[in-house]
Amino acid sequence: MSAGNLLNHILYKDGYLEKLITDNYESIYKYCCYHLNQRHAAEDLTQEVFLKFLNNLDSYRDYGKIKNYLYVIAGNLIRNYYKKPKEVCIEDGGNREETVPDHAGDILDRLMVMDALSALDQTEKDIVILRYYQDQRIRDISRILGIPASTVRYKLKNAEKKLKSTLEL
Amino acid sequence: MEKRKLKKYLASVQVPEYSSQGLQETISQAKKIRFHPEKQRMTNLQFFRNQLYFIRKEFWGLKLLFTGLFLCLILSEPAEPDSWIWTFSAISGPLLCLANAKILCDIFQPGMLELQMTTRHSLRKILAFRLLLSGVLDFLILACCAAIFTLGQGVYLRQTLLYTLVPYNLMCLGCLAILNRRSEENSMLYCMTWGAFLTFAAWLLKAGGFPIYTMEYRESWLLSGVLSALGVMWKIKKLLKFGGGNTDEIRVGTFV
Repeated sequence: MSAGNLLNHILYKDGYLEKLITDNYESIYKYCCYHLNQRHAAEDLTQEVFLKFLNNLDSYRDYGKIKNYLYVIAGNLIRNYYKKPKEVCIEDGGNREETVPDHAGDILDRLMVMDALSALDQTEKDIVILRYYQDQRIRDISRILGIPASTVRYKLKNAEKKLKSTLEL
Repeated sequence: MEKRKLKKYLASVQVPEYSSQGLQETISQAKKIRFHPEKQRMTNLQFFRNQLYFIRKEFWGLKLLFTGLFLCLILSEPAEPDSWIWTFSAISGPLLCLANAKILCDIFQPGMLELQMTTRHSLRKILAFRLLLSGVLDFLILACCAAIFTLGQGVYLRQTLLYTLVPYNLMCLGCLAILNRRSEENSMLYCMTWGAFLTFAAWLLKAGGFPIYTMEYRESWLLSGVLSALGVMWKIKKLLKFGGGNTDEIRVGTFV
């Protein structure tokens, strides 16, 4: 869909904007959450993703699906988030809200996986999150990250090897 | 097996559900955004629709008039090898093409409408649109007329198309050559002269009793058709290359 068509849909199709946000909100939120490990920061970033997308519709580029484009914006915002210096509230002791829900299973496994994921380099982590947690196809991942599909496959294999050796599988 | 285990391990990391308040907040913030459709680039379809408004009504009128005249003439008498019908069908091409020459020459006239046309789009794009519109429209008109003629008179369709399209191609070739000469003010006059010359030539050959519409001249017609079609393609390419507006002004020089 071109930027013009998208704008026409948003402007003249009743409920299109709400549907667009509702349909993609969860995926983008989870993508941010897996990267940031903080629920509130992930929610803020998700909101920013949608607002940035809508404010800059002129520069919309077709990545196959609108969701792919949203992932691209989210990826950029996550990188910016890590670059920005953080304000740490001393009274709270820099208290960080864990992403792990209380009802989750084995805490040890979970911690190991999180450690293993953080040991991967940024692109590999992106690929693993998009492939395993977002169920994206290789072709879509290649569009989102702007790298060839063969490279995605290669990096995914490497990441899986690293994860297996870290998790001792 | 190992992959399944890995999947199981990875699945152990779950993120908390998002709050519906966050979603509602995002929707309400999104609704406050003011969009500017006027800043959007036109799609190709919108460009085509928009450009149709710039075609003057006289163009459509001329096309209608020539088509009507052509149909009246070719259906007026039975199709015999020595009848005037073939001459009429041969001169219909140049006449139809004159209307096209008018809209193409109009672009090179520095009027307000033409300025308005070329402010948002490149000259090459407008030229390409007009060439495409003229070509498709004329092909439809000639094909329909030829089909009606074939059904009405019981002659071969290929014969009708041959005697109609070859003079049409020759007319196009001449007009494009004139447009490529870039003589802005008198282009239309030269095109009309070329059209009159072709019409006169067709009339003279018929009046002089030269049997050009017989089978023995079929190869010559075919050869002229192929050569003129190749010439038209070459001239269109040249016109589009050198009529590109400000980009080509730097690269190859332009005429507007």
